[in-house]
Amino acid sequence: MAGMLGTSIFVTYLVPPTLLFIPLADIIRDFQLGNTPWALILTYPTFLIPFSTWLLMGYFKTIPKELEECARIDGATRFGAMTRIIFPIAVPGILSAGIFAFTLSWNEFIYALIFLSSPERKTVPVGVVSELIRGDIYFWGQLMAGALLGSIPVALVYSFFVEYYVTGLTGSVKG
Amino acid sequence: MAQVMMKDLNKKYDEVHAVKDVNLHIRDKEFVVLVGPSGCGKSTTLRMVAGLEEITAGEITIGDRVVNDLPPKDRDIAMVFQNYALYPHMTVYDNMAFGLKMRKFPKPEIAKRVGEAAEILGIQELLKRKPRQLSGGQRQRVAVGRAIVRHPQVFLFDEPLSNLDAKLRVQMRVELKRLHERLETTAIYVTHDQVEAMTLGDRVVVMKDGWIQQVGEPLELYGRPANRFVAGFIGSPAMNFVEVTVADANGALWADTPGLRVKVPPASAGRLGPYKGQRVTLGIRPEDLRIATGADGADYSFDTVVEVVEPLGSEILLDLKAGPNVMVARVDPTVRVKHQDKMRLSLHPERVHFFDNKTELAI
Repeated sequence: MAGMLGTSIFVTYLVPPTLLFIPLADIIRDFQLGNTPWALILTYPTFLIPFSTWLLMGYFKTIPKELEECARIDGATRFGAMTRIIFPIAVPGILSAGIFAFTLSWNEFIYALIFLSSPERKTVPVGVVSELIRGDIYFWGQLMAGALLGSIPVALVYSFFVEYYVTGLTGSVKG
Repeated sequence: MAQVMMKDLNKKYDEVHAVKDVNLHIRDKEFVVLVGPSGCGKSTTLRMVAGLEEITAGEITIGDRVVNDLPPKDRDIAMVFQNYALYPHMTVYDNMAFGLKMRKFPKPEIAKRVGEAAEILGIQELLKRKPRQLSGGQRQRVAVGRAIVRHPQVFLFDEPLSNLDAKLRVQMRVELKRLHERLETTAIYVTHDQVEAMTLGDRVVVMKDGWIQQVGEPLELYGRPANRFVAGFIGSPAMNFVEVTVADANGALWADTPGLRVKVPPASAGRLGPYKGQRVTLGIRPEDLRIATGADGADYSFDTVVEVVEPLGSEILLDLKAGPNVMVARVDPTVRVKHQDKMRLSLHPERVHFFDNKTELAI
């Protein structure tokens, strides 16, 4: 049951955005959300949720189930065992999922290109390409500056959380 | 303090029937060990008592409450797991205090109880450390400490010593026994190690394939095994088994097979009567075989050839062959023997066991 759920969540992740944007564009238009931040806020979870779920499933599997059982014997409810024992242990995994989700959203191109049109709303990856290249004229200076500025937040996030990020990926709860 | 009753306890997973009709009455303050090979249902039984597995059929009573539908937290039990299950993000103190905090004990009481438990277990200096900074033996102590601070009605141990190295295991075994004598709390202990079972248990429950094979005090299991499985499982090296034919000659019964012919001891002769002419299994423990001296009658002696000599210091184990029959004898370390030596052995007539070949039950 859990395995099937995991597989089906993973399969949704495999549907390419280049295909999924067609029906999504329809929905965005129906709700008149085009060219608003909501267009992205509502569409990004289509790839972020499957991805984070899949990543965290792997991480939660490394947490021994005896910890939860022990907490339940010690007097916690199932929910209490989860919030008091399992979540604190899972912090590195949750953080790495967050970092990945941030990077994926930050770098996302196709939805941002389609759903946003006014220059001041565009995300950095889209804006740099669509506003700083005019026909066959490349504004090289601005292009490079934009690319550099765009990469700074990602670099910052990674450098602050690198330790968590590594344990999150290797996923080890010892002792 | 409480007794634990299991009545017609059954556990079925989709296709596996893991625990079958287990009936067990564990008395107040008793230390009962469930022992058996892996997959025999001993851990499942324990987990049903803990409330971590649902009960398919039957009833479990702790004290005078039927606990079938109680969640683990309301059963007033404490459990020690094989991998210790210490909460890695908490200090030793917080690990031990967690159960008390969940039960809303006042802070001074928690501090007092954790202090007491730490003193009993000799881990006072470790209270501020995190589990990952501890050695295996220290983690084990903390896990035990976490169980005892709660003063539960029943302790449950699920193979708590299996992750320790051999020397530490012996040491912790003694400490657990001492602890039980001091706390006098009912305890159920699961292990696959028959030495742990024998040394720790007031009573030992031998299980196989979900069935209880025998329940008894350690020496009772050793001296009077109910069936061939218990006989072979308890004791190391294991009991020797030889298939023999019960033959009638010169007015007495004989256990006869190529390479071995011994008289059936008078104590067993009556019960073996109906098996005349049939095949049965003779069982004899390695220490009940000795090197024959002139004083031993020919009735209980037979010739063997030494195959392997295993000197252990305090004793020597001899792997022998009596005709085609392989057996192990435990002899005095002063005996000088070597490979292929011929040796006449004699068995202890009062300690010979016979088992029915079909039912495997002791005769």
